[in-house]
Amino acid sequence: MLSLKSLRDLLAVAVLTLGVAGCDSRPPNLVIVQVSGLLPRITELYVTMKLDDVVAKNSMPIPESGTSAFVVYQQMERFGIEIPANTTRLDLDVKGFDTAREVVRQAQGSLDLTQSHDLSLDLVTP
Amino acid sequence: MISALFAGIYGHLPRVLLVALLLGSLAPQSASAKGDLAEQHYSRGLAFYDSKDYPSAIREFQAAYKIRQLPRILLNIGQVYRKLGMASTALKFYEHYLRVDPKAKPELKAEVDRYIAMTRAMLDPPPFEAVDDKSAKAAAAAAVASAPSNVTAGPVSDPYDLEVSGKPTDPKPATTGKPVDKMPLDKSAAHPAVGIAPLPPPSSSTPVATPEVKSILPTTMAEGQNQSLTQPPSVNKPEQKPFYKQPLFWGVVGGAAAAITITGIAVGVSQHNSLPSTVLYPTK
Repeated sequence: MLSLKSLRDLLAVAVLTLGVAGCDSRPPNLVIVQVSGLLPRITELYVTMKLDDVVAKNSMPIPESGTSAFVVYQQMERFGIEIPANTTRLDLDVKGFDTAREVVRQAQGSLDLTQSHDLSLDLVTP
Repeated sequence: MISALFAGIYGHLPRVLLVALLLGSLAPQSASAKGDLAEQHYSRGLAFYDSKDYPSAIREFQAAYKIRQLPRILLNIGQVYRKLGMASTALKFYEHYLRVDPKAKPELKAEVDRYIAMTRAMLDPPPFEAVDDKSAKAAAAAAVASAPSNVTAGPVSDPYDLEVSGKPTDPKPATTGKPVDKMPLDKSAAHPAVGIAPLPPPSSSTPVATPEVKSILPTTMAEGQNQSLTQPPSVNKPEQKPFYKQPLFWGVVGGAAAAITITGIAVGVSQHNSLPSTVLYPTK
């Protein structure tokens, strides 16, 4: 029957899609940070972090932001952090800036890297 | 015994005379006792039909046909049987009518064909077999004689008996499944298009009808007044299942649901595993 044939085709496509999607595995040292509480006026996230209680440095520092600051401009609701090997703890501080460079919202979070590589932060008004 | 019989006849004499006088005034030129009697039965049959006393209507039509072999009576008997839900019997009488009156006017024949079609929709009858004129009339007479008249079934709801309130696209006015001749008698009326056939003068030798003779039962049903035959609402169309009972419909719905679900899962998995657009590379 036509319907069963269509169903079979759909299932085949779905299995193929799932297979392709499943192959897209992320690197083992990548921490995914999900950010909620964003406002439209927030134009960038200013991120500082500690790795095993040591302030992390930005290998590609941003001018006028120091070497310990990281900035996220695009798709701020989700960004990644590639953690150096043998790091077990991550402390994160995120500030949401508007165009006037004022902190609109902020959040802090910690992650035991031996347990998880996913962190969710909810930005709140300071 | 004989005196009692005469007493019974004399007891009904005034009524018979009255009817005879009445009919005589309508068709004075050729009224006869047999014709009167046939007409009485026929009129009673119509009255019973109107009052939905279908078994009595059948009996009266049968009695009329035994006296006068009018093809139209066969058609009316078929109508009554159809009203009773006795589709096979109704079909038999429609077909008898077509056999007995093979030269019926095309429009009337078309109507009868429609009746046959709608009745066949109720029942799958045996195929119609053409026979010669003489045996057709004999078979019709036998069918009338042997047809069940003491039926106990009540009238059934007739899906074709539409009380149409006059659709804009329907050229015909409201119609019901009536007997084909319900018009009052009028001796001055011409031979109707679909009215009752002219009654031949009663013959003592043979009961076979002779349609060419003068009419004593003309009707006023004129051309275009044939409202008695119901337009069947597309009975020949094959019954179609509702769309939600079609396998294809549920196949498509199921396929679409499966596709949406699987796509959602795939997108979710993909997003969960995909790299974010911004990746930070801190060092200690």
